Amino acid sequence: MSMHTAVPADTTSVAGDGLPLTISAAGAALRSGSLTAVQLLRTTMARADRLDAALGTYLARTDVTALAAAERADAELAAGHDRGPLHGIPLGIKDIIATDEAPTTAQSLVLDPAFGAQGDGPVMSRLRAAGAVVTGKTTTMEYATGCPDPEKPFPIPRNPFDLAAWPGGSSSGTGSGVAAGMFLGGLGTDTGGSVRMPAAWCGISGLKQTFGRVPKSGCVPLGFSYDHIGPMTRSAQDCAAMLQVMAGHDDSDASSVDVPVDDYVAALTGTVEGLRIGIDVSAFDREQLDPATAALLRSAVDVFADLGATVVELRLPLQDELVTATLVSSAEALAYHRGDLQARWADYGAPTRMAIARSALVQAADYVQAQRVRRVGVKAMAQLFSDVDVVLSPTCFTGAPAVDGLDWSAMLLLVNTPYWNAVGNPAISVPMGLTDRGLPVGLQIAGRPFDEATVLRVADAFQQRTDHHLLESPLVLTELSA
Amino acid sequence: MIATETTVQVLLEAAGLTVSSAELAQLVADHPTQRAALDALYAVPMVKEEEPQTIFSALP
Repeated sequence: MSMHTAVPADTTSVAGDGLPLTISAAGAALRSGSLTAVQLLRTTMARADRLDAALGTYLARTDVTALAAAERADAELAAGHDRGPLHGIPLGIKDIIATDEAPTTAQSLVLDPAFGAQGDGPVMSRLRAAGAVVTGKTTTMEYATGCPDPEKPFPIPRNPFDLAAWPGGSSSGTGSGVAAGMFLGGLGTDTGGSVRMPAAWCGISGLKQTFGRVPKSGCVPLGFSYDHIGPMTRSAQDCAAMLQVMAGHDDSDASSVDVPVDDYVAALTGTVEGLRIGIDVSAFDREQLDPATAALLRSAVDVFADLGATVVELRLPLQDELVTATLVSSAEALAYHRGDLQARWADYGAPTRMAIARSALVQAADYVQAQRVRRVGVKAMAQLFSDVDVVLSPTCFTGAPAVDGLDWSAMLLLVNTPYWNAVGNPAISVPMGLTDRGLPVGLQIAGRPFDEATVLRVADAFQQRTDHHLLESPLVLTELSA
Repeated sequence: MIATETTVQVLLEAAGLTVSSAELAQLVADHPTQRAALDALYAVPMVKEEEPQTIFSALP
């Protein structure tokens, strides 16, 4: 079923280079012998060669170490050593996450290179042990906040569905790179929506799991009590495969929670029968919601009704207050950045330094009160999720805005994600179609704390009935057929 | 009544941040909205003894 006009794709790209679009499809090809990890990597590298100059996806490519990793993956599979669903899979890593093979800059002139020199943190170590192939470091907003700054010597990320549009952020490069097939999955980070927003605007899936589910050590902090490292892939099934590897307690992160990790892939039953699915109808009252996004949201809700779920209309409580409670996270950022902002104000990009500096106007009691409101919100969520299993809402109220002249405050009005950072619940964005201008928009599915299994199950059931997540962008189709 | 511009200037100075005149003007213009959003947090119904959602631990 498809409700869009662009060219739909099967799990193998229609662009003609034979790229399996999903991790699961690539894994099947690797195990059938129809594809090697080196061939897969070279196909993604060829796409990067063609597209990266336009998209600004990479800050650094790690072709040499990636090829060596892919060769090892092939040798291991040939010897019968299968590390699981991520074995031989190319992944792009947001450049605020330290890795063994490349420096970490946070897309900033300010970050001390010693941060990146620490190498892999727990999430990267887990992905590497699972056989993943790291293709490089991807673009972000500086320190994961603000907006792209043309005055600084870094690429300006652009959207593969419209090069004049922003791919979203702050996990911009991982979003555009997955959408363009420059890697099949990757890591983003989400403090107020930085996984889900670019996922929505690039037409892919992105998960912010429960706060504390995945250790965030090894990642440059933005808001210590709001940050998440999350997976970004074409499909919810692939997010499940990545989360399976990433999840689990680690003492290196003070926020890490030691709770059992479910079998997320096994939870993908393809059915939502018997589930109660809430739809936050207050989204339809938002003046920012454009008619195309509203229509796509209604169509998405209809899919779940057709699948046998019970759809329940509701209104999420305390929306303005919990969004404010997330924006107060910039006070945590100021605690981290204050010394550098005092000493190196001009080295920061203007949008980033302003996004952080405004928290100098937040008083200590305001910050504590925000944390009290978060506790009220957590209790309200417990009550709300006693009646429904998940809640649907638009990830953003429109398609992606223009990248040139992007304004941070105006952009914040377009996103519907920070609410879930204040309360910590898991939330995924999955594609739900294209606007009249051909720009992707996302469906946000949120669930109970540590119940990522149900969130992923609902998202996967939606994707088994739709193909929005398999669309190739006009840029890919044009460039690869040229 | 202290002017908003003075309030913003004092708080930035207390934080040791030196901003341009254009940036100061932006922060001053945004401050009433920011302050109103923060003040609204105190109007959220909650028990007087509600704890913040940050739990201190004596363990490292």
